[in-house]
Amino acid sequence: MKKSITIAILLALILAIAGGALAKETIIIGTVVGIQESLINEFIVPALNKKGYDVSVRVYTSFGLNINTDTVQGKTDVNFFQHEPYLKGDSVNSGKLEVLWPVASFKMGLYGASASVKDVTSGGRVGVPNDKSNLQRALKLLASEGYITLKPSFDAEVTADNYKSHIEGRSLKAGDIIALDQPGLKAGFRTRYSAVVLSVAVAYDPDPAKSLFGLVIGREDNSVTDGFVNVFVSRQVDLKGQDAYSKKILDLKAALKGLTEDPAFLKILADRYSGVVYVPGAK
Amino acid sequence: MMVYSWQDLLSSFRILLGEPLLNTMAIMLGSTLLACLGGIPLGVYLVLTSPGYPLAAERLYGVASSVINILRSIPTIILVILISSLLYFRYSVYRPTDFALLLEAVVMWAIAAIPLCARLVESAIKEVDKGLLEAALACGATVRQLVRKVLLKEALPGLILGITTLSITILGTTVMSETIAIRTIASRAVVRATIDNDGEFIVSGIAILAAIITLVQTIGTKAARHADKSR
Repeated sequence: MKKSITIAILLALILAIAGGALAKETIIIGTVVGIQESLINEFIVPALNKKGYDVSVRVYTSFGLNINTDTVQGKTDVNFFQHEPYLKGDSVNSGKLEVLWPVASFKMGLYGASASVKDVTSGGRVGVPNDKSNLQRALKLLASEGYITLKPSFDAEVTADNYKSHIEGRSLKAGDIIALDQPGLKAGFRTRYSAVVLSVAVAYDPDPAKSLFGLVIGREDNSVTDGFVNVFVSRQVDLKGQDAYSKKILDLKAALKGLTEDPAFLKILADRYSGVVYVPGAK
Repeated sequence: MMVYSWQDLLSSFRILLGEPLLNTMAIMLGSTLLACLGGIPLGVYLVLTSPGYPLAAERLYGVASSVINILRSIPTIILVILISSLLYFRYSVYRPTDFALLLEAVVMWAIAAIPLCARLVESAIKEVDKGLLEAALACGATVRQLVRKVLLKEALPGLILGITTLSITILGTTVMSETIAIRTIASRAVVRATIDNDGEFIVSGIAILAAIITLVQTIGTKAARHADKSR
């Protein structure tokens, strides 16, 4: 009896050690719900599995600096939710992080709540994001569509607290533009129109024309969107791949490079998200 | 941990003490008041219909109680989104002003707070000594007199403390107010600190919220003590 217990324990120990040795390396990717998450699950996870890695995706419900902090602290190996300007604005973490690979651009657009309301100046309100970087982008979009003009005082420090004094109404009054958080913009109940990164709306329905908001009234110019390429961000990587972390991150980088140059992937993006999600520079 | 300059901290105070403070106070005081208008009668009704009280009706109590339980289980934010979806039709009738948007928010928060208010009122009134109740009934008091002159009067200190708790709970839920475009102190502090990388807002936001809560709680405690003495 005693003997069999001893053997069983020994066996369990051996199996545990062997299992630990045989376990594949895991890459933990931090991302946010929506299009970023589906891109990772659909394309990046299979590519990494092929290279022999296990991938665990940690999905955050809203974007924020804590995702970068988690990457710095090692809770995630890489993250994919932000564009380069946002990373630069994170003064606490940006020194410890670096851009691994740019993946895709998500266009910002102006949506009407239903197909019947096309005249933005018809008495509704326009919702813009309440965070600094997306707010400025949305206001620039409204300005380029000719609804408002940006005063000369409009700069990188404009936030949801003071944007009304930095813009001048044209066909839209400054008071018609209100700042909401992402759930509020998506629900669209407070406003007739919303300016959001189109990927947010695309996440509801792959076809932007049929998405939640019904109608795209205006969209950002490619030259603007290209400044906001969403990038994979990792901790500092040793380019020779000496340590375990650098080795797997370099493998991830190679996989991302392969993916963004793969014609099949580009074709899927072009077909499914026509002009909304795209790899900059690709034909 | 970041170090902030004094200027940043001061300007964050200046921003939060403007419109966000007004919105916060409007939601906190306005919806506490409105929630009391709905919640106190509901709480009294709950007490009167519960077993052992003059209008005891087990079924009615059960129905009211479970409706309140269900309403309390809906998170404030979901209730707020539900109500604003019902209000969407207004755009075909009129364009709401800024003040109307704030007023809608106050009403939404009040509706979300009514069930909690009813429960707090119920527990405050049930603290009243049952001997008093029996004495009043033996003297031939009507239910109306009983409620007004015995139950509410005797439970006043507990009611005041309960309402103080209610208003502080409402203050806590204003953190998600930007879903309906109302900028409050808590929501601004969270957005500016966790997304916009202006960490000083967390410091000033907590300082202002702490000041508000201390003030409200002090007033509530003092008023309750006063009511207890002059009963």
